[in-house]
Amino acid sequence: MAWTLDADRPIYTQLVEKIQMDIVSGFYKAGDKIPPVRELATEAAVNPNTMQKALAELERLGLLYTQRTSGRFVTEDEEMINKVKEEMASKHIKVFLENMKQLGYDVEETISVIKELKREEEE
Amino acid sequence: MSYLIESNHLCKKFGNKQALADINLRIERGRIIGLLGPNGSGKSTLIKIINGLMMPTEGEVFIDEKKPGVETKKIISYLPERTYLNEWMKVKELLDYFEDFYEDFRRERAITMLENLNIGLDDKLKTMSKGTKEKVQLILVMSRDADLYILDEPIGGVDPAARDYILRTIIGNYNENATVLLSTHLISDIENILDEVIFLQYGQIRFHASVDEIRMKEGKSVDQLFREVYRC
Amino acid sequence: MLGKLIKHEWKAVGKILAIVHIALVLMAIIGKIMLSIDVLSEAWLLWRMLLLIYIFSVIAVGVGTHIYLAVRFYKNMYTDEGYLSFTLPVKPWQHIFSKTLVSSIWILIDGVAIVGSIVILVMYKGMGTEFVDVLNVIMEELGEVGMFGVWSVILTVITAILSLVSIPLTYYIAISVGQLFNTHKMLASVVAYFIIVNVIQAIGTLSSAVLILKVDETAEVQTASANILEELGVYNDMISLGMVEQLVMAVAFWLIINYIMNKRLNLE
Repeated sequence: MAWTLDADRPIYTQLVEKIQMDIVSGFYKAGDKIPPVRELATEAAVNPNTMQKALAELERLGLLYTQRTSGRFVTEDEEMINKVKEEMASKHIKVFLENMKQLGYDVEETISVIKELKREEEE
Repeated sequence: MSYLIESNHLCKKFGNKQALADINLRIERGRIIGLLGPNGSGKSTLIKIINGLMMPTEGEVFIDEKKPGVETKKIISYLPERTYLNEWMKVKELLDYFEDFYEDFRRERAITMLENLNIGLDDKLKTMSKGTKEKVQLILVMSRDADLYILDEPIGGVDPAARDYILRTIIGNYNENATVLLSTHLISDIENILDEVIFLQYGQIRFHASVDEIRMKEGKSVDQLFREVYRC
Repeated sequence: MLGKLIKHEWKAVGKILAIVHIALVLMAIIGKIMLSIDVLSEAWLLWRMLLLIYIFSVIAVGVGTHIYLAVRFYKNMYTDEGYLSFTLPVKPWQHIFSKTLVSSIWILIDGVAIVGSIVILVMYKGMGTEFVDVLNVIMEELGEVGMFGVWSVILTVITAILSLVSIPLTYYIAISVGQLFNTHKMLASVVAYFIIVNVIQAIGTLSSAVLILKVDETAEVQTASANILEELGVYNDMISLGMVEQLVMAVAFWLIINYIMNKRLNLE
């Protein structure tokens, strides 16, 4: 099944995000080998060149590295993965808080709502 | 730098109609390029000229620095928008035919793809559905190790599953030294696999840019941009 | 590449043409057998009908073969199949050559099969020896004039081959000329064919007449005691003229078809 991609944003950016998510969420663990470019491109139904660019960017960011003859691997540096995870979480939260602000909730009120929801779930 | 396809002031006139006007193409290797435009924009004329099926009225085109002829036909794998095979032939005979005339034909690759689709070697084209016929033609074309693949409307009039298969076949057979030129008007379906797009209108190149460039600059998909550009 | 084109052309047309011609010959053999065991002597109506069927078959096979070969050329070069033919890494003249060669061979086989089937039906005892006798007489007469006679044979054979080859070439050039038009291509081809055939015939008749008049002036061919040498001389002149005309025509047709395919191709 093709990956779901937005039509109005650059494909390459979205590929970087998706694979980053896969790494951070543990789908690809630290040190795992990831599939070759062509396979990923076929799965995502995107141009192999674009996929290659995305993987190159992830290498530049330090999340992936290439071993000349064996392929591409996720970094073994768990600290770095966590850092990226935290950055992504921060971004999501900032967006969420901004959305809540538009609804009229400030940060304190938002935290209360979250606590209330948590209590309801536990019942 | 040497381009895979290069044209200089290419023009084609039919009587009074100017089908192509001053086309200056620069196409590099290793790209998947969409040739987009409404009917009558000159797409098929341009494709025919590149294939040596038609002579320009002015200007010239070079494929791998050669003029269209026997040598360029050896390196171009062309899928026209029609059934161009003799319908009485069996699949096996078609494989023999392609193997005979094209040195770069990879029989094993074709057989693998045919097996994946449960198409028998003894099947005659005549007995196949339209979709299956188109897949057979695509398989034959993509089983060559060509430098330039020209696919004219490869996904038009075909069901979504087949469309999917066709796109994956194109991606799967991609090689960095070759270029795929896809002519179509069904943009949204193929946008994700294109590197660049060339918009043709009234026989001229409106623009030639990369897909991500367009999305970044215009904030919309190529499909959306296309609809706006051609609304008039 | 040329060999491959010839091979595939042969495969494409060979099957159906072989079946049809074998059937014709078989029909003749069966007919002959029926005649010899005198089955039909009473049922003369049936005999007439079978004869009629046979005659229709001969015409159908003969005409059909020509039409089939012409249509094959059209279909393979100027319809959708043309997209494959003209993108193969071969030069157009190789297409013309392979198709002309295979068509000529089949037209020859067609002629031989038709004549052969007729011979089978009418053959009688002793026909073989009579035929051999006639051949011997011809050989003797030719033998008297030595090399001269051989030359006549050679000229005749060459002219025959050229005439054979020009049959499909005429179809091909008519079809190709028809392709130059934007509409009613079929009609244009048919009209072109008739015009070309008539023009060729007119030229042929005219040139023969001129030659005969010329010959008449310079030799007394009218005398009853004209010897074979003079007769052959006239024959050689006439057949040489025919040969040159055929050659010029074949070359001209070839060049024109080649030009159309190279520079004036316009597939739909």
